Amino acid sequence: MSIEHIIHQIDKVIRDTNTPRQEKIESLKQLAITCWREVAPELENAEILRNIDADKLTARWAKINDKISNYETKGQILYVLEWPASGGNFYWIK
Amino acid sequence: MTEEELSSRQLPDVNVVNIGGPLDNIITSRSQRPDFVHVDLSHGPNTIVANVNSVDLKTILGSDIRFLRVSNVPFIPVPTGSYIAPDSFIRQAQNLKVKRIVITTGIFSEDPISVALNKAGFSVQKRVIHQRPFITARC
Repeated sequence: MSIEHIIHQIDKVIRDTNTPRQEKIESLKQLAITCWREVAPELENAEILRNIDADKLTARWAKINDKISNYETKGQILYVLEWPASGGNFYWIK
Repeated sequence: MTEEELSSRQLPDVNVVNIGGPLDNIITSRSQRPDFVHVDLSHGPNTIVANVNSVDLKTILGSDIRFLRVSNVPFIPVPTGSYIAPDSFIRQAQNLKVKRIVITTGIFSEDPISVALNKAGFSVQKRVIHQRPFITARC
């Protein structure tokens, strides 16, 4: 799945008003993990994760940020994409 | 409160600092008490707006802190670019002479911050409470 497609799917789930809340949260978590695997597959390796090259990862995310900027749900998409690193509780999902 | 506003305002004695905003919308009676302060990049109730990577919390708060809480903060780079570098966090905790740290964070941040805390000599434990993983550290 391309990163553009993942972001599009995240936007779609955020806008969805029919699916139950918990189901939406699970979908968003799965999409966020899928995105991280595309952007930084090496983080699956615990040793690399412990000695992360922060500048390299920041540069990769900067490119992704550009792809999100046109979405109305930009703030929520960023929250979702941060979840694997922040562990947010998705309190804003209805 | 910005850093400039803080210089002209006396903070009450702060015992507990929560980094990362108002606990991701979990409002508790404890976090409403006057000795509890949030530190975040965004404005909010009872919040000091500051970047933990670049400020000195000890200078802002003016005293040592007993308990440091970190709620839903990334410790590796994320799309917004706003994350706490583990080394900066350890430096703040040591400067503030905290006795206890409780962290809720994401799966990709758990290892980087746990390793940094261990290296700095903290006793680190991972616990799951109500299906949420918590990292606790004692000095």
